[in-house]
Amino acid sequence: MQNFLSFDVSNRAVFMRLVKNKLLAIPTLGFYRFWGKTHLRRLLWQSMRIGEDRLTYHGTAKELFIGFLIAMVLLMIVFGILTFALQLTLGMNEVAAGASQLLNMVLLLLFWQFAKYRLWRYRLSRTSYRTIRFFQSGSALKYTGMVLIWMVGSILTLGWLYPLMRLKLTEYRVNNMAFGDQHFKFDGKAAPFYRLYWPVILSMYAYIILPSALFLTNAENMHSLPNGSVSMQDPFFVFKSIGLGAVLIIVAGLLGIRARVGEYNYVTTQTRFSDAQFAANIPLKRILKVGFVALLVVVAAYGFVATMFGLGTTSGSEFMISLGFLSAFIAFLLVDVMIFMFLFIPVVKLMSEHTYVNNTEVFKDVAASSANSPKYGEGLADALDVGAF
Amino acid sequence: MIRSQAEYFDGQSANSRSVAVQVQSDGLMLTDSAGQVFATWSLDVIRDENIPSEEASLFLSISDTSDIRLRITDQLMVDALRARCPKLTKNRGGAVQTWAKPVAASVAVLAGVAAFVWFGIPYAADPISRLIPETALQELGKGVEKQIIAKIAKKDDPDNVVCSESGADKTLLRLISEFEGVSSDDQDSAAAAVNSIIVVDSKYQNAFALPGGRMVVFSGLLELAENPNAVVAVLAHEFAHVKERHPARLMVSNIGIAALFSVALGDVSGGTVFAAIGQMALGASYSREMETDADARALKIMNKLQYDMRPIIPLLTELGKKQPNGIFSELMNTHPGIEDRIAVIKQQSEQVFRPSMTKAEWAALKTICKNSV
Repeated sequence: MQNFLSFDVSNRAVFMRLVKNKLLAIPTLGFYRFWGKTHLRRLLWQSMRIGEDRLTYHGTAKELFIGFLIAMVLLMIVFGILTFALQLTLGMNEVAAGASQLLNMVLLLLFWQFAKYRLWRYRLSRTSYRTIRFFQSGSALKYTGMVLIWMVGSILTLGWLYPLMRLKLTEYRVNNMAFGDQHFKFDGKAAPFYRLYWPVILSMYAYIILPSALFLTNAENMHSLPNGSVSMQDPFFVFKSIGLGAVLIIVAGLLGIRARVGEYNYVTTQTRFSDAQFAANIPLKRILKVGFVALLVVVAAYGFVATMFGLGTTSGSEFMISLGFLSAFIAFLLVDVMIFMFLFIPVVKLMSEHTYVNNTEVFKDVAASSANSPKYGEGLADALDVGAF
Repeated sequence: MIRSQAEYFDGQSANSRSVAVQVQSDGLMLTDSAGQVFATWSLDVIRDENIPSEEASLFLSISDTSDIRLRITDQLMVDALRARCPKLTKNRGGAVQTWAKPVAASVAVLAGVAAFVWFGIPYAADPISRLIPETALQELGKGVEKQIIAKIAKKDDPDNVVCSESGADKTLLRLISEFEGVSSDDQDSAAAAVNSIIVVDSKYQNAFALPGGRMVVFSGLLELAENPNAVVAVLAHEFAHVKERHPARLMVSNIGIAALFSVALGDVSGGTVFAAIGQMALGASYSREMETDADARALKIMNKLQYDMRPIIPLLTELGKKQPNGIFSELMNTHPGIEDRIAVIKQQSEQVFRPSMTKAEWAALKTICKNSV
């Protein structure tokens, strides 16, 4: 087995590009992003090598822009008409309002899945290796339908169909992935997904059970006051609740990360392309370390924003006010750049360092495919903020 | 004559073959392993597809539509081509014309969005705001009021900053019911009622209406007013806001604009700031329309009650002095320009006016926060 990918990106070039994108986004009211993203991707794609050859990104800003226009119109029509019609017909009572909100949320979630599939398709079809393009066959609508059905199943089984859903979706996605005229093949089993996800499911239960338990055990401590508010004799109750909430969030977060890393390793190891067998063993510890550093950086950056903003609002002098707000604004803009530099880039580096293949020669024996690639960009994905870059 | 080996991709397969390349006066000559010249690339059309470019290698193409590539790693050849190919790093022309449709499409989308913002949102805000259950609006209004009081009270007991004095309270309620009486004829079925009016002990010179029919007056405004009718006019103005459900409509509009902006500006964090500014500006513009409307309605009420509204003019002038000037603050201001407002009020027809309250009532109202416990 040898390394499949190598990622030798220049941090300085990425940083400069990100800052440039941010700065140009201001006078263009954010519309520079189509161009900025395209430049950034060219840089990132070209930093990714398989063997001796680099990937090439072929997407254009125009495609992204047209995709965005389509997405805008679609979103406006769908959500405008839907919410309006819903509100008018269902209207008044709270049950109906709740149902309409739930429906909106489900719609947004499905839209997101649909957009995600389109995003994979767009990016893969705009990627080439040794002049041959990747692509994603299959239907985004079908994928969305699968998500809907499995999601309902997962909810009805209190989460116990979720690992199976991950397996089925991965199967659909990877088996529809192709390079030139050949498809990737994923052959996975349900058991490993269950091994990865059972603690996540249980941690979700804990999220519901533990707070209620804490609340119930404290019930005798509480007294209703005449004005309707509740007083508690245990003064630490609030701190206990906050502490419990924090612990639960951290535990659920860690278990979630563990499951995703394990899933990547498993899925990669079960995937083949022609005669080549992939493998991956990203160490969870390294990912957690990267995540922790990124968290510190982001907390520090937001701390700086808050401090400067505070200075801006409380200071007496005009100069200090402008200085405070300006530096808060700049720091705020830079948070995204920090996340990219400290989280995204290191994670991709880790992925490339720990993903292997037993044979790179097969990639050279691939012929171009005549399959169509999508005409427009990833509009829906762009508008819905799907994807890191 | 510069010669070197290069890697040739035919665009049909991932496999490459080694070819000999040679720079000549009319182009780059490609020779296969059998010694046959199979192509000559004009130096004018050659472009490097390594973007950003790489120091030690070129990845050459001859057209946007062809996937044929030539990789050159021989340093002498790389340098020679860098010197001889004029369009090596240039975008190929011709793509410019194809922007006509996208530009037309974006203008159309922009027009659609603009229409949605200017007409759609304010139009939809009224019916949508009526769908919010009255109890929800009342809870919301109560919540906001509580926050304001808590902010004014700081560490003090919140109850201490809400002023109450039986005489003054009666005057306020009498005025509200008088307003109700004269505006009942043009009242539509869904008009809101005033559920609460309070005076808060604060130096701020302001009064406002909250969702759920709540009115809040700051004592600073009562102290600033030199004529009882100035206060009555302010109350009539806020009363009109409540009747027309302006706070709820504004809230719905703001949510609509926020959603729209966040979609349009995407994931740019700078965009979030713009979204906020845009929302404030647009929200303020809707709000200015509502203020103008409330002024007009207040004038109507005052006319019907035969109360002189003009004493509000010195109050507005005084408040106007304290406002920042400039285009930006004009854009962000939630109220119309003072001059415009005064011009409207000055038009009140000459008539025989009645006093809106007795001297004793006025004195009690002015000192409501001093006499209350």
